[in-house]
Amino acid sequence: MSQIKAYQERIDEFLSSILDDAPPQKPADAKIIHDSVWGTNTFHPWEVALIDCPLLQRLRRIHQTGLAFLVFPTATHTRFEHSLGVTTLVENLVNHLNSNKKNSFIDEEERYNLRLSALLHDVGHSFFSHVSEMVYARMPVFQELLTEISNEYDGLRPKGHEIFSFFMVKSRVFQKYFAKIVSNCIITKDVDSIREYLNKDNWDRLAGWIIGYSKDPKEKYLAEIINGPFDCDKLDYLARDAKFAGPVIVYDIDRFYYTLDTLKTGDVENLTVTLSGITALEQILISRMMMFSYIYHHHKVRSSEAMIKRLCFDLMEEEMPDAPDRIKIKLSHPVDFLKYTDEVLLSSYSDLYNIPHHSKTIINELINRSLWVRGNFVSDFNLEKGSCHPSYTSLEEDLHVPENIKELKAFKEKIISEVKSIDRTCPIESRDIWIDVPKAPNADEVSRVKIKKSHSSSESVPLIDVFPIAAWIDAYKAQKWKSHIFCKKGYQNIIYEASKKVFLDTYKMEIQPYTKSFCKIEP
Amino acid sequence: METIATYQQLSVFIEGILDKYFSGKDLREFTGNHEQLHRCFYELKQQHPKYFQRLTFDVNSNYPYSKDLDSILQDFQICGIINKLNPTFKTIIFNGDDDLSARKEKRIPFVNEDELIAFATELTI
Repeated sequence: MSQIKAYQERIDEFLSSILDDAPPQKPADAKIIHDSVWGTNTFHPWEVALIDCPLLQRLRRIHQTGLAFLVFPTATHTRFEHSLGVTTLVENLVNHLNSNKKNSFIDEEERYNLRLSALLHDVGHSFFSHVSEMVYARMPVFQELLTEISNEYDGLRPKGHEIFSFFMVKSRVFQKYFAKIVSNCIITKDVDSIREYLNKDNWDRLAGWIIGYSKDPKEKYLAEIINGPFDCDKLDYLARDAKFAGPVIVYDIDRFYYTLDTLKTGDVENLTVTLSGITALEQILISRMMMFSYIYHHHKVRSSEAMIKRLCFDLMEEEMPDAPDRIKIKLSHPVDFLKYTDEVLLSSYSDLYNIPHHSKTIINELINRSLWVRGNFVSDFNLEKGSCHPSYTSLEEDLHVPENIKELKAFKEKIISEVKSIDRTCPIESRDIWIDVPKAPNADEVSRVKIKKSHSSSESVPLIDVFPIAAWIDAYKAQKWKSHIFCKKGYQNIIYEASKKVFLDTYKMEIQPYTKSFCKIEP
Repeated sequence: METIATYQQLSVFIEGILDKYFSGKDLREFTGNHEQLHRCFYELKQQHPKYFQRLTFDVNSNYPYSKDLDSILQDFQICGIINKLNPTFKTIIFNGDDDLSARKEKRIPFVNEDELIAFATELTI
C-alpha cells in the first residue's frame, strides 16, 4: 500500500476517534468573535459549528510558538486563535483584492472555500507545534510519505503539519462530519450554496491550498493566499507572535492590502503586489527575520525545544513494559503525535505515566523551568579562522538515515569521552547533551515573487531586483546564526572544554576564547 | 547503481559539480539570479533524472524552484564555500573548500570524477 493511502487511513482513524463521540452542535447563527490582534469579526454558522468541534478545539491546547512561553512569559497564545486570525485576514485580503481588481474577482463561493481552508490550515499540528513536527520528520516512514507527496504534487515538500491538515480535509470522516454541520444549519442562500459546491473535488482543492498546491495553474493565487510567499498565515503569525511575545514588530498591512494584485506568467496566475507595495512587503519580510532573531532562534527557546526533542526520542526508542493503571505515551508513528497536546507533555501528573525515569526528569525540569544551558556554540564570528565545516552544518540533516544518526551519535560520544578524560567521575551521559544546528531563515519561495509595476500594467520585475532580501539573509547568517551545544545545568564548563577540543579535532573549527563569556560560563 | 539519496550526499555532489565547473578558470563567479540558477539545475535534472532524484523542484508556480538547492547554497555560505559580492549580491563567488575530496570519498564514492566533469560541462551558470 502506498504511504499516502496508509497515512490517509490512519488520519481517518484519528478523526473518528475524536469526532465520532462529539456530534456537531446545531449552529444557531453567525457569531461575532473578538480578537486582540485583528478586532471584531463575524464567523458564518457552519464555521461556528466547526470551531466548536474537537478537531479545532484541540488547537487551544497547542501553543503557537512551542515553548517560547518559557522565555517570553506572555507568549501563551495558541494555534486556535491563530486559525481564527488567518480566517479574518483571508476575508480582508479577498475584499481588498476584489476592490483593487474592480470586480468580483473572487466570488462568494470561493471566499467561503478560502475561509474554510484558512480555518483548517493548522488542524494537523501536534504538541508544541513545529517542535514535535521536527521529531517525526526524522522517521523513515515520514520521509517515504514526503517523497510520495513530492512526486504526486509537482515536487512540493510541505511541512509535516501541512500534510496532516491536508489529509484531514481530504478525509471522508471529516467531510461527512461537515455535511452534518451544514444539514443542521438553518437554510439560507449561503448555506444552500455551501451544500451544493462542497463535493469531493472541491474539498481536494481546499486541501491542496493548505500545502500550497493548485492543480489548475490559473488558480495558483488562491493557494498562495493560504500558503505562499506572503500568505495570510505569515501575516497573522508575525503580528500575533510579536504582540504576545513582546518585541515591537510593525508592518503596514493597510498599504499592503491596497497594492495586492495577481500576475499572469504563462499559464500561472500568482498573488503579488504592485511596486508601490514594496516597502510594506519589505517590512513583512524583515519582520520575519527579526522574529527569528528575537524569538524562534533565542538560545533559551532552542534549549527548551531541545529538551522536548530529547524527551520524544526517549519515548520513541524505549518500549516500556505494560503497567496497570499507568498512562502510556506512544510515539511509534508520526500520526501518533496528533493524539497528544501540550498539557500531556507538561503534566504535573507525569508520575502516573508509564515512561522512563529520565523522561519524567525532563518533564519536571521543563515544568520548573530548569532549562538546559549553553555549553558552547559555533557562529560565523566566534571561529578563530575559517568557517563552519560543511559536514558540521549538515550534521542534523536526514536523521532518518542510519549512517547520519551514527555520525551525530559519534560526535556526541567524542565529546563525552573527552569529558571523561578531563574528569573521570563526571556523571554526564550522551543523552544529557544536545547538538542544535538550526536552519537560518531563507528567502525560499519569496525569491521567485515577481512584482507588478502597477495595477493597470502587465509588466513585472523580480522582487529580488528591487529589494535585496538575500543580502539581509546573508547579514543574518553572518551575525545571528548560531549552532549550540546544550547540556544539563552545572556541566557547561566541562562541556565547553571538551567540545572545544572535539570541534578542532573533528572539524578543524577553532573556537575563540571569548565564546566562554558569551555562554555565561564562569572562568 | 547507488544513488544520491541524502541531503549530505546531494550537498557534496553539487559542490563537486561546481568545483569541476570552475576548475582551471581564473574567474570563479556565477550568477546570483535566482531564476537562472534554479532553471540551470532543473534542466540538469531533466537530462539526468537518476542522478538528481534527491534534488526536488516545486514546479507548481512561475518557474521551477528547489528548496534543497536554496538550503545547500545557504549551507555553502555559512561554510565560506561561496560568498556573494557586495553591494548588489547578484554575483556569487565560488571559493571551494580543501576538504571536498575527502568528503566526496566518504559520501559519494560511487560518483566518479568524469561524471562530475560531464555534469559541469552541461551547466550554464
